[in-house]
Amino acid sequence: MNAPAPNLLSLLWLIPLPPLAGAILMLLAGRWIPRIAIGVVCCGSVLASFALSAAAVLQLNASGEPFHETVIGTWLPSVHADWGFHLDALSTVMILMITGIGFLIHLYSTGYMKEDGGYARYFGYLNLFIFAMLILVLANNYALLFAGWECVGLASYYLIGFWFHRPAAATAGMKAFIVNRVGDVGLLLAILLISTTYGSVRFTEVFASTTSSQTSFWIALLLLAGAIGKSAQFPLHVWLPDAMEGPTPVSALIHAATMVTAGVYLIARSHVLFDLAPQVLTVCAAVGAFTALFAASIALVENDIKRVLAWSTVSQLGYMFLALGVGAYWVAIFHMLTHAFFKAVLFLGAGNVIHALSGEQNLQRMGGLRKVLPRTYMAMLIGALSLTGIPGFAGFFSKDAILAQVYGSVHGSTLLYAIGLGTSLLTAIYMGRCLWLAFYGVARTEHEHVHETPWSMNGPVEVLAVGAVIAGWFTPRKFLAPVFGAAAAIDAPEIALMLAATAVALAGWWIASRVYEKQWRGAFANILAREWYVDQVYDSVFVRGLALGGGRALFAFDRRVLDGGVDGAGWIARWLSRISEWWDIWIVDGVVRMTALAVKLSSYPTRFLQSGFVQFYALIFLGGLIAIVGYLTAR
Amino acid sequence: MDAFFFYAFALLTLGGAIQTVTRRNAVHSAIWLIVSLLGVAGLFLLAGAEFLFVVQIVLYVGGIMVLFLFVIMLVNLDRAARERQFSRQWKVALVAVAGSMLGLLAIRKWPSATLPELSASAGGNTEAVGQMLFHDYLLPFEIASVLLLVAIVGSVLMARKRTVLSDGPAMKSNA
Amino acid sequence: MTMPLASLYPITTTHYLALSAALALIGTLGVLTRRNIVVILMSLELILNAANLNLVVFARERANVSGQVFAIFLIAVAVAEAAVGLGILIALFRNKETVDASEIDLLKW
Repeated sequence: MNAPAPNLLSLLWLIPLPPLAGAILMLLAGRWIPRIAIGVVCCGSVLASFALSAAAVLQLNASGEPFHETVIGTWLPSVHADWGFHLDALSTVMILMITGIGFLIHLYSTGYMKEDGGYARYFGYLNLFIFAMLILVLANNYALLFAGWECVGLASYYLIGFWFHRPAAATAGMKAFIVNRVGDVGLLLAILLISTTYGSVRFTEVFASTTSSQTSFWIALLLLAGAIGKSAQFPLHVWLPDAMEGPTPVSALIHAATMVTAGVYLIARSHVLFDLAPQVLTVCAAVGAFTALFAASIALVENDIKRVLAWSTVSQLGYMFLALGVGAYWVAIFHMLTHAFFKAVLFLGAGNVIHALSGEQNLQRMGGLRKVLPRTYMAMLIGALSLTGIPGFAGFFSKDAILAQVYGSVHGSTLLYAIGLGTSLLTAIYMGRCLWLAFYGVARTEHEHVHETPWSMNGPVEVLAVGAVIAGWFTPRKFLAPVFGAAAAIDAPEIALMLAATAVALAGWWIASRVYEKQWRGAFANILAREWYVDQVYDSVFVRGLALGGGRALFAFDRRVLDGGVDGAGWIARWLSRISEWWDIWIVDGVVRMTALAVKLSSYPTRFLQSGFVQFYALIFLGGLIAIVGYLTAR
Repeated sequence: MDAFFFYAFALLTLGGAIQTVTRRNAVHSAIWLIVSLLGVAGLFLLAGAEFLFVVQIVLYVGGIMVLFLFVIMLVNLDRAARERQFSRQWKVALVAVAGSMLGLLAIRKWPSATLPELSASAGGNTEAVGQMLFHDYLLPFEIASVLLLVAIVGSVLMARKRTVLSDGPAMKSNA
Repeated sequence: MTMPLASLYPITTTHYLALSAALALIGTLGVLTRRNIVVILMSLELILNAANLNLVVFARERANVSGQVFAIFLIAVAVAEAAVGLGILIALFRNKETVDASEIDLLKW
């Protein structure tokens, strides 16, 4: 280059733009663009973002600054929210992971979605998702982060419900959005509390103070709530397994590499605030540990290959939350990174299997695919070994670091360590089962023309597989030190822990090899198969109880009280009219009739006198005579 | 002696009167009226009115009662004799009359003075009456005769057969 | 009110008066009570006779003959009245074919 390299650090805002442009183009004009062009444009945009990100990172490294902030405009002055972008070690990891793995998944999608009618729409949404995720991790204040957070939720809704004509997919999209919303309320309240407590939402200003206040606990707790929603921890985990209704690359991108990691990123970014509220960290660790074990138990009996991986994701996110909860932030980010690789490998490999079997997803109907899909098999094996923590693979290093931190950190505990270790065992069991059911043995059902996948699909998988191996070889502790501070030393027998973890993992694989073909029946198996009845509880309490019940209650209120009031008014009016009718008939008419009656009554004696009977008149004479004489005599 | 005759004639009078009022047959009522009038005539005699005694018998009994009997015969009362005789107000009338009787008896002071002895006047009672009648009461006498004339004319007018006073069918005058 | 006769003997004016009162009232009763017009007229005669009796007894009591004279006039009046009354009765009978007093009720209208 002859011209001086442009200072990318001041052009940080460029990074999210290519995917945004791709999204706008695809969503507005996609139907008129040929498929080849769509693929090139969208994959190219993400690649461009990756290049820009890499360049920016290199420049940041070269400059030696701990972080760099670029602001291009003011948004909400009262809380110091700007259109600002912030690059430091943490966001470096994030943007490289997002754009890198995102690019590979875009590439994969060109093959996977080749025959789909919504090709342009798919890539538009996918680009939109990348854009939103980048905004989220590059934001320099909570308001912009929230904007990206919500946009990520929106894009995930579109993508999960991509095949919207299928009712299951449409409802899965809604479920994801609504459950996320529950967490988002927590996040919003946290941001509002932050703005009132610190007077600002900008990271640099909020993290500057180190004194804890009354609201610190609530801020941290609410942030945790938001993270739980986005990262599918218990109790807001219910959307993730159902989100497997979306296309498999979407599962790989959203649920392995990016969206679900937004929660982890949020907590890591706000670690200062969390350090001010240690109780919330304990809650975080507890939630993480519980979720890990919970999800792993359910994965043991899953028969859909994608759902096994979904529960696995929830479980591994639990590990990350566990790490965050014991204060080992860098470890959580480390595991997030390795998880992105091997989970993406597993998902895309599963996508290969599904594609090869023309849509079959049920493990019980697979078998013996090792011979037909050898390259996919290799990749998935690598991914599984990494996930279960077999030494040498990436997952081993990160998971072992977590367990060591949990065991030895001042915030950790033996109980949490035991849960983590137990979950490792289960992880190995279900992963081994999954692998053996799919690739070994005899084919359980006949499938037509099972074929290996094209290079566009295999390529990214293999690249990711390589990543799944080597990503763990470089511990980012020092790299992330500028963000999290120097990590505290832990008192843990590292070697012993490593051996224990390895032994557990191998034991799990061995158990899987013996039991994978058996069907597990029984009451407990039923509970696991029903996912501990969480969905049923939510349905009966919230959907039927609050929503339908509330609706019915309001309807009854409207019918009885409001309409009753109206009816009552009408009834009162009718009653009043009856009174006035009575009044009219008996009082008003009564007076008239009384007059007639008076006349009639007075006519009786009068008529009596007019008898025409002369002797009667004579009698009256006599009477009068007696009266007069009597009167005169009495005087 | 006076008392005996008084009570005898009184009995005749009152008895006849009661019978007059209560008989069903009109002829019987007329006969009993005659009896009562004879009783009154006797009382006149006892009271010293000899002329009146005769006049009563000749005029009242011999004239009026004969007239009554003729009229009774003209008017066919057989049918009337079979119907109810007393009007519906007889109870009230009885009460009124009884009350009046008691009242009349009550207002008179008892006893009163005895009657003076009869004094024979010159020429007897008849001459005394004649004297007073034609000297002191001549005008009323003449008027009374005019009254009798009017009564004659009137009764003839009333009783003749020409339909002058009513709407009945015209009947040939036979007067 | 001292009603009973002080004595039955000697005969006083009061005895006559009581008698004439009784006679008059019997006659009144007949006038008011009987439905046969002929009997009504006869009862009327009784009343007139009672009046006559009163006049005569007072004439004797006061030794004044004018009482008797007046009684003669009264008899004349009675005669006239009886004649005219019976004439009316005959005319009435011709028109109504009845001598029932309760049937003569044209005054009712």
